[in-house]
Amino acid sequence: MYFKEIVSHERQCGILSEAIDNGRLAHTYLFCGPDGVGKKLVAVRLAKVLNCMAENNGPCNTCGICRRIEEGIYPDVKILKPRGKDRIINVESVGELQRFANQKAYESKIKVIIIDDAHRMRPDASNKLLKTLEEPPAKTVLILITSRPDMLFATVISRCQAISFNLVPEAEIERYLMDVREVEAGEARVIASLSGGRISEAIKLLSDGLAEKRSGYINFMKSLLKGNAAAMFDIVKRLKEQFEEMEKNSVKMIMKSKKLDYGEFSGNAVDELEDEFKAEAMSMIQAEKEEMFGIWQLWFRDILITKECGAEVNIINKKDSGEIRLLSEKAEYSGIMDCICAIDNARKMLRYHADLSMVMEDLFITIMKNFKNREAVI
Amino acid sequence: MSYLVLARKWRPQKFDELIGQEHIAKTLKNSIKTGRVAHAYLFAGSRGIGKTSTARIFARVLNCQKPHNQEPCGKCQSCVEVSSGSSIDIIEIDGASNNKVDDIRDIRETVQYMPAKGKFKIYIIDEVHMVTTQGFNALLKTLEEPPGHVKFFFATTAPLKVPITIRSRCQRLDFRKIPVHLIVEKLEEIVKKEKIKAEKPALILIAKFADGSMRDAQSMLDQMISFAGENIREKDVVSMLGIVDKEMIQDIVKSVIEGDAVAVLKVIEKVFDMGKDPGTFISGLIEYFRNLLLFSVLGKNMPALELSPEDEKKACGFASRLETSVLKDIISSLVDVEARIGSALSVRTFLEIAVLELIKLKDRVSIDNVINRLEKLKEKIEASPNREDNNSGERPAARQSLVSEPVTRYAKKDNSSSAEVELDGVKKIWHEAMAGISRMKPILKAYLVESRPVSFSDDVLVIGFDESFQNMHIDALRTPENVKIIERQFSMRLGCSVKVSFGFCGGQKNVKIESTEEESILSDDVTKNPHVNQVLDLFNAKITDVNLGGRG
Repeated sequence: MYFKEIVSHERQCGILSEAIDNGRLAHTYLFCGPDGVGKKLVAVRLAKVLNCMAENNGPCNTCGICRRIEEGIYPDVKILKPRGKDRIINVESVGELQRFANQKAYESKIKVIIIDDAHRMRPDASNKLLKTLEEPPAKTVLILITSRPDMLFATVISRCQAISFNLVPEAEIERYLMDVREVEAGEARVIASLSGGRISEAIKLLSDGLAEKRSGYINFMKSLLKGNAAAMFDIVKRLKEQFEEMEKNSVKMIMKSKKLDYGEFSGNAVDELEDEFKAEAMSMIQAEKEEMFGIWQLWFRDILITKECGAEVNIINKKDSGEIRLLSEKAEYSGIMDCICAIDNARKMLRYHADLSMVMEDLFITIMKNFKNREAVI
Repeated sequence: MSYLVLARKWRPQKFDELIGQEHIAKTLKNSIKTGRVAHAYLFAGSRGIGKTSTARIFARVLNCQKPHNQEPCGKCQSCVEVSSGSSIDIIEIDGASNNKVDDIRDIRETVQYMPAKGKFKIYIIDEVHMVTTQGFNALLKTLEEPPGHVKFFFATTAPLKVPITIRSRCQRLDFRKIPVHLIVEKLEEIVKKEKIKAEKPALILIAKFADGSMRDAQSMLDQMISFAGENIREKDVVSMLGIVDKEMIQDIVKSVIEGDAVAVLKVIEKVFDMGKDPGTFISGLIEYFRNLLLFSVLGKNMPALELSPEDEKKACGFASRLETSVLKDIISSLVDVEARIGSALSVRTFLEIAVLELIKLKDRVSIDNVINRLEKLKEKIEASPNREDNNSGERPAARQSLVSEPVTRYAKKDNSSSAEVELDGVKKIWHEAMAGISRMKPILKAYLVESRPVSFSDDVLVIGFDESFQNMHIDALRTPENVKIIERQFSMRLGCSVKVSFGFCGGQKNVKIESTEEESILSDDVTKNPHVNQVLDLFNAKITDVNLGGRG
């Protein structure tokens, strides 16, 4: 009940609720699980539950404290994140955190310290933290969040109570998108599949206008499958232009998207921010390309599955089921499989900064080769 | 008293309580018995298998006033002090925190003072791999020749990070991972003493998941007790650990064997709908197929697999329906999938494709199988009597789908016996044989390029040359080695033994290899034939060769 708006994770939230109700809250938690499933959301939520002024069930989300925690300006809740180009948590930040832990709370009942991406702590930082983890000051709760518990020292893990988070079932993401975000059913299914069980990925895809982009990319593929070699070069050119454009505007787009993230906690040095932006811009364009390949891969996956199982298994691109069935008759099983592998390879090549047009041409030729009688398809 | 976690409560206090490390307990006990205790030990091995416990037990025995059978008595002053953590002679240092050169210098300074009460001053440095290079170097001299009353016990999970100079000054003892059945036994003992009920499969699952580490197993049991209360069932463990239950794995294996793609995909859908970790799912599959492989290879002589009898029966049934080579292929394909799943674009698609591939893999004829069948075919052909007097001996073989070209030609030829037709046969394979010869020894092609077959009867092939070349070329070709190569190429293609002799062909210049007159008439026939044209259209093919062989 404290965590009622959290999607999935009933068991994890149940453990925490029970601990709160019975007054047996541990002083150090380790939330581990895949990226983007809602670990941080649960952690912030816990901070609110512990501090909210409303005395009823769960945080009100409207009182001053809840709002300030949400905005990251509440003095007794500290979120430590990896910083800088290398995205690390250095020993100085841990020192700062320890000073914060030893101070008396300004106004809260329980101070909450959240360390996001705790596996990014440098070895010396981890070791410095050990004493605090073992015996934190009274009325303080430490929450370490990590997607890579294997990268944490065993000494750190053994001092925490570990709560592991699973991937969110795709059906639940679908339901969430439809009920809360009012996404149309077919679209929700595509987003849920692309998100791979990571709800924040799903939200990101949604806010990026996936529907529009998706139909764009799929149209590329459709026109490729009915076109000739000349059409292919045209498509490659258009894709190239699109990504060049994106590179130019990337920083602006990041500034825009920042609004969606809940804010940076305290004032960072400006150049540090710039470094972060550059790295982020790169990874954003990378993500865009991955998305494109992902959309294509799902398309071919549907073709493959239609070929193998007919209409018995649900496909993801339901809207296009007619075309997909036609396409599935035009290629061999191994040919479709080749296409799917080629898409994956192309993605890897681009990761290693291979030339975009070359990779795309190679991919498209492979795809065209595997679909015979292209003209007759669509 | 505050709550003590199981792993600490059940920490072994004697060598005899150490589990799965008998070799180490024996070594250390014997060294005490014979008075050959080294001054420095390095305990290496993965987490939670007893390194620190061993170091503590060993230290206690050495300082115990009344050791009994090389075990600490647990009652004398020294033993009591150690267990309450107040001993000043046994110093346990966390190497991860005290890793600087200054920390090590502190040790070096205190080494020279005699122990206060016991016989030895013992330094236990845990996580010693975290000590800095300078720290290690500061320790080198002390470690080589410490005063007689000093012992060093190092414990580490990463012995390779310890400099070689340190390692060479220590006796190194490697700890083993603890086998599943020993962990299960220990867990059962703990559960009994803690007065908790637990299903055995649940404990087996925990033990497997602990991956050889007793501490991990005990912490998991601890968590299970707070999660599930007094009664631990298998399904609680499955739910807590997020692992994939065996029904799902059995379902998918069954569907793969039956080649039911729809059912396979339904299972994958279930995996994702339940939010299971795909990586765990794949490793579960690998483990299951590994069991099947063991069944398939070992049959009844199986070692215990920690499977319940009914699961074992099921697995046995699956194993009998798959070839060993297929199982091997499946496992190696799954291992590949496991390695690449982290970088997959869409994990779900990746997984679906991977399992669909398993179905194909099952039906795929392995290359070993093909080779086997070819070998058998070859044996049959070789064993057959001379082609002159055989009628039907190898004809069934020729009809097999895997039959290869030379055999076809041979089979076609068997009915005719006239020397003329035989020569035609030679002509047909002439270019092919030449190509084969040139692959074996390119220079021979150069000599043979001006030659042509003259006659072929009684297995003797006469190769003729123009007069202008004959001496030079024939001399070069006549070495035994060259003759052997040529004979081999022809006999391979003709399917009988061939003796080659060289002659000169004078006026027989009209012998054409490419096509005889008869064949060219035939080829006209063929191109006009509507059925042939239909075939050509259907396969988008063209005619490359027309010959008479098929008419026999």
